Amino acid sequence: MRPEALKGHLDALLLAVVAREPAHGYAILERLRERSGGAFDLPEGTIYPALHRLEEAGLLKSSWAPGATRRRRVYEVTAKGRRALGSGRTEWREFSRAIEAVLA
Amino acid sequence: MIDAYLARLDAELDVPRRARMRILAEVRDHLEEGGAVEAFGDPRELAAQFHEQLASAKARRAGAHTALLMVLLAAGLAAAAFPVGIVIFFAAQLAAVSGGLGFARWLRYRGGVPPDRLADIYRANGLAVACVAAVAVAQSGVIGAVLFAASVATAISVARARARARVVPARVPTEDAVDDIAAILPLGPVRTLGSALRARPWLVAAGFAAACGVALALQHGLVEGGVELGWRQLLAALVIASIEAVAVIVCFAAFGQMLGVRRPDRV
Repeated sequence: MRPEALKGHLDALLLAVVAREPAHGYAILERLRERSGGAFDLPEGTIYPALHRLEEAGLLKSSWAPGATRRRRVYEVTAKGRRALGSGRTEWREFSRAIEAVLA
Repeated sequence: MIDAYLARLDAELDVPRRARMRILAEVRDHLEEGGAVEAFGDPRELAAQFHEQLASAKARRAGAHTALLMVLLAAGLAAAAFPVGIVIFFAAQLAAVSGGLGFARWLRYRGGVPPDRLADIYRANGLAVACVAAVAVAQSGVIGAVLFAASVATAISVARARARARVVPARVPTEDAVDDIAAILPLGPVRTLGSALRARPWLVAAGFAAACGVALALQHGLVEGGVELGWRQLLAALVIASIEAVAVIVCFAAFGQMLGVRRPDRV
């Protein structure tokens, strides 16, 4: 899938991945790939400005956590982020139902 | 290879030291964990995305500070029993309009400010801050001093937002003040008035100016003479209405484009 197709949906996808379990950037990307069956193959660096934006908006929070060889920034979803994810899911369902109705 | 990529990204980043350290540490961690340098994306494009994200964050922060300043202005004027004075009167009105627009944009862009609207936001907030500072100077006393100190603090925040916005390549805005207001008040009359403003900006501005003048004259007449107005009160009301209407038109001409209210290319 082309990266442009993900535009507008990346924030909700990142929230959905992080909502399951706090994770660092690389793990978030890996889970995104796994759960999409490899369909979402965007430039890897793209997720970081998006994660920082979500944190600035109060939807995620992050902190440095000690790793085996180095510190890593771990992200977790906030209560506001969970509410935003709920709204995002509803909007997506309505949107996809409408698209499906037209394309079917 | 990782070090070379990080050096290129470091050279492209124009962000504060703390943000730079965090970004480089996160990218290093990602690449050392197993990420491919080739798949990470062009350092220049990645740096540009960080610049946009930071500019958006600063614009949102300055918007929040300006909104607080507007609350302080309202409280200050109320505490001073709405002082009379031409500077205070017009500066407060202009602050309300520009600060109101800044607040509408702050509400609208909660998830992030698009790069093409950054300038609209810092200009609206900057004008609001300048107007509050003018009110503070004209008011003087404790209330004036508090308002002036708050204006200076907010001006620093707006200046930071402007500096961040300048790192992002300038883009022609695709939306205007009507879009901002319609986004938070999706009502038919707002859209109708907005379409009219785009189609005939000067006519709508003249109508709005006349309405402001009449409203002010009525308010003045009621305060001064009640329902029984003499010719002196009527003359005074006419002069007040004219001054207000001219002031609104002059402000529309001077600040309309700057605030994103009047966009000659947007019809």
